[in-house]
Amino acid sequence: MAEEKYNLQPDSFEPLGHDQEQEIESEKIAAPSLTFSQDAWRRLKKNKGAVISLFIILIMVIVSFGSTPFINHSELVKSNPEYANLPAKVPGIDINGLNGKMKVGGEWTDVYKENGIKDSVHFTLGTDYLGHSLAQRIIYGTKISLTVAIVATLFDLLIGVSYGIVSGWKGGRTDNVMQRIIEIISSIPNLIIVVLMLIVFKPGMTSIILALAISEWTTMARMIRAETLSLKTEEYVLAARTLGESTGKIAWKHLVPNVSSIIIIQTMYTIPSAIFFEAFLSFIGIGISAPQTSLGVLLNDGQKNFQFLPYQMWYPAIVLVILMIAFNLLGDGLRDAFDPRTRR
Amino acid sequence: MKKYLLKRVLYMVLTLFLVATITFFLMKLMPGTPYSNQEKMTPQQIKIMNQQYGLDKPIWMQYVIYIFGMVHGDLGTSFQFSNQPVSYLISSRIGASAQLGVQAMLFGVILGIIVGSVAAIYRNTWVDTTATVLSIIGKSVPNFVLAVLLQYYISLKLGWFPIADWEGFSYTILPTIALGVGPLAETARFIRTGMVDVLNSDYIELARAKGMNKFGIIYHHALRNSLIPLVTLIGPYTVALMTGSMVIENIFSIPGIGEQYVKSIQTNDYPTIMGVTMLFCFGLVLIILITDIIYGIIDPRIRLTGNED
Repeated sequence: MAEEKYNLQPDSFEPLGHDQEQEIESEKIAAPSLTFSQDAWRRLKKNKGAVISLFIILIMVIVSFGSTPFINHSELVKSNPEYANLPAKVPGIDINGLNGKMKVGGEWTDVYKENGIKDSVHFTLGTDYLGHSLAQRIIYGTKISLTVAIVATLFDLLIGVSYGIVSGWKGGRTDNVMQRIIEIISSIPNLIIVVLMLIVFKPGMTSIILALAISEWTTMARMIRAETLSLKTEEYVLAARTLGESTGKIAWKHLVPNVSSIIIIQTMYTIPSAIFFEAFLSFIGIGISAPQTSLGVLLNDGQKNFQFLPYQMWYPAIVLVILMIAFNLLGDGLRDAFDPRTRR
Repeated sequence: MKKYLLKRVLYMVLTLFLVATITFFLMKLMPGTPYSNQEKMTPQQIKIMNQQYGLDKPIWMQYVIYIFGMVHGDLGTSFQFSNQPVSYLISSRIGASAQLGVQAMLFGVILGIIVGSVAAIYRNTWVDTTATVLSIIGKSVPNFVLAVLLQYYISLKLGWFPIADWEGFSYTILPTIALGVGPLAETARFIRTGMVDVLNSDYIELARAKGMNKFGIIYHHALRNSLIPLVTLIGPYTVALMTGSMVIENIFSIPGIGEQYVKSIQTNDYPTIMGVTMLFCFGLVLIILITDIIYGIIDPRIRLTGNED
């Protein structure tokens, strides 16, 4: 390098004029910087299936939980034998199957007229064998099914996340023992845990929720543990430890936010599986039973008369399937949004 | 390898022992009695019955007897079918369940591999979209709903297959489909993802550059590599099939283990519940062990060591 000395005077520099300000503007980073969750949300919005699913789930949740003041359980238990087994009738629609007509002996007959029911009475989705409005029962049943699934998933999340973090954070012997426990629990089919729980406690919402919570948390715990193990060695965790932050605070402020994507994705997969299990148990008659209503109970009721009154099973089945599809699609969408590497 | 195997078998035994213990004590906690007409029985009769089933002994002794019997293959006597040993009940019914399970597994996995591969080969075309939509639906429709629909529309309306019962191959088709759709959907999704990954790798590019034809590439390179991780799904599939068998066997009135299980739950038949529970557990633990060993053998990258985690 030549040792040249520049003799720079203050007036060697010239401030940029106003007209050049635009150029500086173009150098700026135009878009606001996105946080991780904003970025994920933006990616999720691009996935049509996931967005539609999200809307469907929101609508179902709002309708089923919003119905609470209008549909109460005591009314659903009352039987109205005069309205029993009526098909769907929607005023103003004249499509066979939705106008109060039903195939009886191969011919479409107006069941409402035959039973001498007043013109003003109509049931949008028909009635069941005790004369309850099927639409009301489905909404109520959806609420129960969703409640069971969501509460069970919350428990599962609570147990799984804390177990996983403790196991991963402590490491060593504690971790070893905790992992062996998980290994043992997960080699018992969760069906058996659920069934045993239901036999011991009396069948009903609480025992289903407990049973599902106890049997489903191991996957979550495993994933959280694996992530905690790798997060533990990160610099910012080390910094927090050096600064004397308490373990609980590190877990809450550093670990939980960083595993939140796993938590959300896993939750979205646990909910449909809980919905399925509730329906399954109620369907074989060891879950929620008769006076209570859930989608599984409705399917069980409908299946008995399926040959003659197919609509009684079709409607709850459709609701259940839509719910499951929506949760599965949203789960896939969230997985792709939070972890773009898996996207294909 | 030997050390690993020994360790695994030890865990297996420990798991089974724990399950047996928990099941036993839970059954003891259970409300209700096994005698359906207890109100009509005199205390004398109840005493005799208790003696006959060994229920008069202290609980710890019952436990010891139970564990001892189980080690020797004796699972006690069913309450529901008087004087029938549970092991006989199980062995007379396991054939149907096993056949159904194996058929459903084969149906689901083989068809799933085909659907998944086709979707991966024609990815981002309508074939792929259709396959994806179908597998989402297959994953979301509960198998018992599907079973009822199949039974009604295929058997009753169209009359293609028998409606229920278990008397020959034609009787097995609908239950197999109903049970196998779940694994099918799962396999198709799994294979598609794996295959897309493999198809993007360098050695596939090389094979293509060498002029190998499409199906040769798929068969020789892509399929083999994406099949390996599928082995790990066999465990979860087994669970799904066990769960499914309870309800599918009921719907199609197949004399199998699942149907028996539901019946014994509904009638408080503790010895049978315990026996079937142990059977399910044993089956699952064994299958997980076998698949882990197979996985280690076909994929040398995964080492089976005693202290892996």
